[in-house]
Amino acid sequence: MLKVTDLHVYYGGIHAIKGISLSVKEGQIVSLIGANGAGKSTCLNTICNLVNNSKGKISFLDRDITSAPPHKIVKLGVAQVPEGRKVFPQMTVAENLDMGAYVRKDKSGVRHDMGKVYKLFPRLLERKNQLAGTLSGGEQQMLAIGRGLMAKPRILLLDEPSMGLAPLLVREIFSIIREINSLGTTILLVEQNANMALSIANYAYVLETGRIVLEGEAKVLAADEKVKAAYLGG
Amino acid sequence: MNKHPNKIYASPILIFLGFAALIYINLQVSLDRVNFYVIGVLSVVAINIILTVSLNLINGITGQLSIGHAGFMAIGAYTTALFSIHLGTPIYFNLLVSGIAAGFVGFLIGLPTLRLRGDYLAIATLGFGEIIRVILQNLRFTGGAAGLGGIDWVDNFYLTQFMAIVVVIVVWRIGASAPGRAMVAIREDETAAETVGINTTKFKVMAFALGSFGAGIAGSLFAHRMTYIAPDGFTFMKSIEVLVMLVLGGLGSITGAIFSATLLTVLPEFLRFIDEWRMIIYPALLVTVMIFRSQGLFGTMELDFARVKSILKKVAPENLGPEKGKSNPPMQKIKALGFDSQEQKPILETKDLSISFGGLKAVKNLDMQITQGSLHGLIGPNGAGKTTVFNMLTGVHLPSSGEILFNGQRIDGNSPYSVAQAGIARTFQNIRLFKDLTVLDNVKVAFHLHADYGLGTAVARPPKFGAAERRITSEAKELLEIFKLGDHCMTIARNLPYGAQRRLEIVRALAVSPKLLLLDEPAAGMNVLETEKLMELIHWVRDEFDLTIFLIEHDMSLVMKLCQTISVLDYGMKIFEGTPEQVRKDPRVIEAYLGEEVS
Repeated sequence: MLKVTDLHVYYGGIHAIKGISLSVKEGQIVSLIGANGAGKSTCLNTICNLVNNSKGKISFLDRDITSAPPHKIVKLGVAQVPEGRKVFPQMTVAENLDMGAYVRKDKSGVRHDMGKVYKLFPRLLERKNQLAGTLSGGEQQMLAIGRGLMAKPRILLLDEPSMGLAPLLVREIFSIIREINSLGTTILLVEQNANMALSIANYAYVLETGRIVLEGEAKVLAADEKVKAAYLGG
Repeated sequence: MNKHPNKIYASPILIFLGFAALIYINLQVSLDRVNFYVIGVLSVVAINIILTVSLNLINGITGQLSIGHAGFMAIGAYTTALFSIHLGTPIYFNLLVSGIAAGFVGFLIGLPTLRLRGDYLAIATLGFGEIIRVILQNLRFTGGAAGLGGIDWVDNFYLTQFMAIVVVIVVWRIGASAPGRAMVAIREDETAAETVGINTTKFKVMAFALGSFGAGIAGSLFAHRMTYIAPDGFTFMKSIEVLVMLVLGGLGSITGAIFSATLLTVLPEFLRFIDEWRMIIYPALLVTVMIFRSQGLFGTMELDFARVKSILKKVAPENLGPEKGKSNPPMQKIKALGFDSQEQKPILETKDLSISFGGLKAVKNLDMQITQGSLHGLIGPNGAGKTTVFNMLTGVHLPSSGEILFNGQRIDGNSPYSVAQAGIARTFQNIRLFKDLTVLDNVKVAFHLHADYGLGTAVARPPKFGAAERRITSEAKELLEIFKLGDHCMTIARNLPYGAQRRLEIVRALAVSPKLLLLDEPAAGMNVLETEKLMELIHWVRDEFDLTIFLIEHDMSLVMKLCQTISVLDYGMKIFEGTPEQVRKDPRVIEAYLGEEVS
């Protein structure tokens, strides 16, 4: 469904990604794991064309989207939930969700999906009219994911959804991600919490300093000694 | 979006051409080969350079949008006119008095208005500029709308040039000093600047008064050249003209300001032959530049004399190589300030602390003690009010009721900078670095409190200045080295990977030489291995710098291993406090936060 071929990215004078190829099959959860600065977020940002200075080819549903502008990419069905949430702080929760559906024309569909988001995140319904900037970190993360879903994406790119969340919430978010996936949305997940990521993913790639050093079934990777030592803590 | 703050240094050829042109012009003038009209234009060039560069101190370096610069120029011009006409005082005297008058008014205006931010400040300065003009228009002793004539004509061509050079050097030197770094920090992130101990109001007012001083000087030179001044020479359009020169050259770049002030003054003269058409070409040029170089011709780029020197002498610029010989470990110095951690007295204490936001009580009656030298954790569900507690402790939020005691002194109600100066430093949950500054400058800003020199020293640059700057640089580098950021000194902070940005934020906080360090989710975005390293680092930092550390964290492996005491917050109330073991077993904590299976 999503295919990245031999991607190179130069970022702030640094060769951040050095020839990455990866593919995501429809209906899967695919995870990118790796240390800080390995290039995981850069990879997501490049797919959405938020980073210039890249070489290589990115295609989505057999269409070349390498140089398509970001809003077109969203229209095609790729939505990103950025690292650090990036909600619109001066808008209410409901308005934020509305903004997520900006590219859509089907009003009734949008209403319907908003209901679905509120069902996934009852907390958001409670705080519907509150300004997003006044939400707690975990609620903002929920809102960011909800906003991503409002675009009715075929594939959702999640950048560190568990960051800064309480242990209880981390588990909740991951079970929600699984639920979103089971409802038919493909997921590409970037995560520091490799334990959690590998537990819900079908397939995973391990990135180190801009290269893919390992890939495979998530279950196989989780059992891999090297991966255990480097990312799973023992 | 398209902000490229990376410093790209202009080619030395440009500097050379600039100086060549300056010498050539002066040679021609001194040989009487230039007519009066050209000298006039050149003087206006110099006056506009003074205006633009002084405005750069306010708008470019400190990041405060002022659009009333012509008002201050008017104050300078009228001061000079009145002194010259009534008392016949000499130009040097008038120059000084005009500068002081404008600077003083700038100070008076700045004090209330600089509390405003962004657009509001722009409107306030706009209003001020107009008020000045209207007052001048209606006062009898300023000649009303007709203005004042009969000012002493002085051939101030050389003096004007000289003053332009002086203003450029002064602003340049302020920019590259501790006060200048404080100003840039305010531009980058005002809240973060406060939390490293910068009195933002003071520095904003300082920049504003100095910038106004410059405008006053420009006005004085203008009055003496024109011999006749009227209010309509200092309208809003004049303010905008100066602003355009600044923005075209690149906000923050003195080189750009000089270049575009020259260009935009001279160009209309050259375009006279096409008559009316120039009114189209001139704006078209501006629009074109803004489309293709939205950051201005020079961006924040600056000519760098160290670099020119290095090319001439073929040696590396001194500020790029590591400092040799005298290393002065910052920790020892900071240690010397520290005190015995043997005593088990609380360094920080809150009594019945509460805060409400719009009716919602975010923190309720919090009583807490943090023991000197301890590692204290604060955990709780998202939205429990943990960061709000940090914000109250650091003066960012004012508590609704209750007390905060730091070393037995009440600090609630103090502004963030004075809390930082008292010895509480912090990091932020969503990282607030000075993103467009280099890694090294981020730390140097925070060493601001160590800079034992003021604005005068920054401008006059006695040997003491160089010594202080070298010390700050080497201490900053040393701290960065400890945190494995030594190789990134010249990297722009925003280009660092996430984890490195978190480390840099800790370094910046340490540079304030705190006694209490507040860390807001230091391990967020780090993987298991990195978290382990961070843990060692926090432990080491606590011992080496003799600190007390209070941290918010969701990574239980870190909190449980690192902290001696953990407080648990839920819905703004402390529901439990104890050792990691006790916390792990407490049913309330498990229900509210940890969940059933505890790793």
